[in-house]
Amino acid sequence: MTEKAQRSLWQDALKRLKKNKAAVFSIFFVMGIVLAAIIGPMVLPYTYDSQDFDRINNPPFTSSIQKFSDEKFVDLIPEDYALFAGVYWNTKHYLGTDDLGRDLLVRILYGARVSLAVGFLAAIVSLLIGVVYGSVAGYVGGRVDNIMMRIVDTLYSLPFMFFVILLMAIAGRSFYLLFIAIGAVSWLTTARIVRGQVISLKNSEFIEAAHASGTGHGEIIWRHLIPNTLGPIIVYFSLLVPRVMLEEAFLSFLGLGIQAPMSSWGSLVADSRNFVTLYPWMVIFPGLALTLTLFSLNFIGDGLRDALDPKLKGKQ
Amino acid sequence: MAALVTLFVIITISFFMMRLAPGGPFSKDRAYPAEVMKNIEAKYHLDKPVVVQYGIYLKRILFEFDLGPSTRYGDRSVNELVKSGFAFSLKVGLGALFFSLLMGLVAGLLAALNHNKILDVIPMSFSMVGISVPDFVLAYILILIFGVTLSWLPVAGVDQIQGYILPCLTLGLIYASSISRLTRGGLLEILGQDFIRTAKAKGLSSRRILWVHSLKGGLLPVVSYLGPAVAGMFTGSLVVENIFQIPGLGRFLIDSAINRDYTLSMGCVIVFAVLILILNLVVDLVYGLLDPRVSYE
Repeated sequence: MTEKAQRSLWQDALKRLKKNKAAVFSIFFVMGIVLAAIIGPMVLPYTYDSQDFDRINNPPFTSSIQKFSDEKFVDLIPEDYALFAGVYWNTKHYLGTDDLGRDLLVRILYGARVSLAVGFLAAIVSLLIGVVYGSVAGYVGGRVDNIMMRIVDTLYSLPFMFFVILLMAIAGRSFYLLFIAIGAVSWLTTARIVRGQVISLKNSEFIEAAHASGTGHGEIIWRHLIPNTLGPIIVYFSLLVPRVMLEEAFLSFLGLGIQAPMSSWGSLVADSRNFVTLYPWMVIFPGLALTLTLFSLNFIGDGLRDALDPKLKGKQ
Repeated sequence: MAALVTLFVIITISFFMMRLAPGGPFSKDRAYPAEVMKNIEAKYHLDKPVVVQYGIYLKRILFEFDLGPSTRYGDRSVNELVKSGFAFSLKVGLGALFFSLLMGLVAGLLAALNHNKILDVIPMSFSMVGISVPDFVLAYILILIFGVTLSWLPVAGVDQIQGYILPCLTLGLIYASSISRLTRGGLLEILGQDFIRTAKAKGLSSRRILWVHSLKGGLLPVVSYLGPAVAGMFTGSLVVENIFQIPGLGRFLIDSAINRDYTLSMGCVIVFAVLILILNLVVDLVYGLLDPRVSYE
């Protein structure tokens, strides 16, 4: 009799994930962005606030240095540019400079640090609150569960973004407040998901066995219930991160998040919006970085969902 | 009833959040003499304890529908300001809703009826882009294409009716992508069910099957999504009003929150909240009409 190699749920999921080309490509892309965000600012000879007054509003590339200088009222330094494939490429500031002569590439990379950090930290904050809340509600059950989920229902119907806006506007715009505020308002769905999972699990035999062997309630939740809800939690987390990043960008764009001279992708777009018709690259590159990253994160989330929960495949 | 409780919670939270923050509406400007300051504070009831202020505010809103005087624009009441902004925001919001439903339903229908063919893949790829692209980035993409390169549409201001096209399109496109996915998913699920096969076996025309039997059930996920979508569109209107320089409620909200104009920013939040609650109620009712299985307590 040939023995089939045993595969765990996770190995199965990994195999399914590897088959999803869009998700694999997205994982590499996000890893590339993370690496660039870490290493880039160390390697590049500029920081996010270093200014070069001789090179203000310099483009990343142009078809004609003379024409650009005349049309856009910018004196370019011809030595900075190298002709390649019929286009003059900026060899000093690869993605050009902004209206204060700051290097756009390094600002985008600093922005990547901020945006990714806020995205992951706020998602973790919301995950922690949601998991604890949901597992307690589901495990205790009865009237406590009823009350706890009623609170969640009520909070669900509040237009939360407005409160976050008020909070950021009146309580100062600090980095920590930003991700606590975002995290604190996006835990509701996590709580619902975890509660549902816990309820369906808590009457199963292995929990009964744990009870019988004298395990405490806290330990049952922590050791037995939460690990078994990990699949849906991971899927939800991976879809939460891009949503949180979008919210951060939204707040920063409105001037309520990250403040100059520090940059985030949202604030970079906001800072340059008045020049969008004249110097579009200042808006296009940070916008592109944000969009592509969100795009990849969404693909990863979709891929993880298909891999961990094949039943859901193809559904929204 | 639940909506009223929610409204009460919203008023309470925003009131206390504004009051507990450091700094008042008059602490930013140059300091007034003590007596003047006292008079101003008396006018806006800022000299009384917070709980009393809350009582006064609640009473005025609930019984007189008066959102109070603006602390920054001294001579104008919040009601006036909100009314002037509301007209703009409502137009943007309804326009966005129209665009999103039109594009989302058409794309979703196309995709579902051509399952796994090219007319399914193309709209769904676009919708993946639409889900990921932030509204302010999309706004600038549309500005650069239609405003700058083609110069078909104005890039800012709503003096002419054309000014509304780009803002509504921006918000509409983003929600159209979710709507198209939900339409497609809902329809595909319905089309696979037994009663559709029965209808086919009876020899009904495929057009009748689609319009009479499938659409009603297939659109249920879309209808229930409209609640959060409407809330999102009004939140998104903050960004869009900012970019396209529309003097709507969203602009007032951001400016007043930064200037600590308590009454105005609370007024904006309350009006937004009421709007969202009413539209959610409408969505619930429509849902009940479409799906008789849903019953109300």
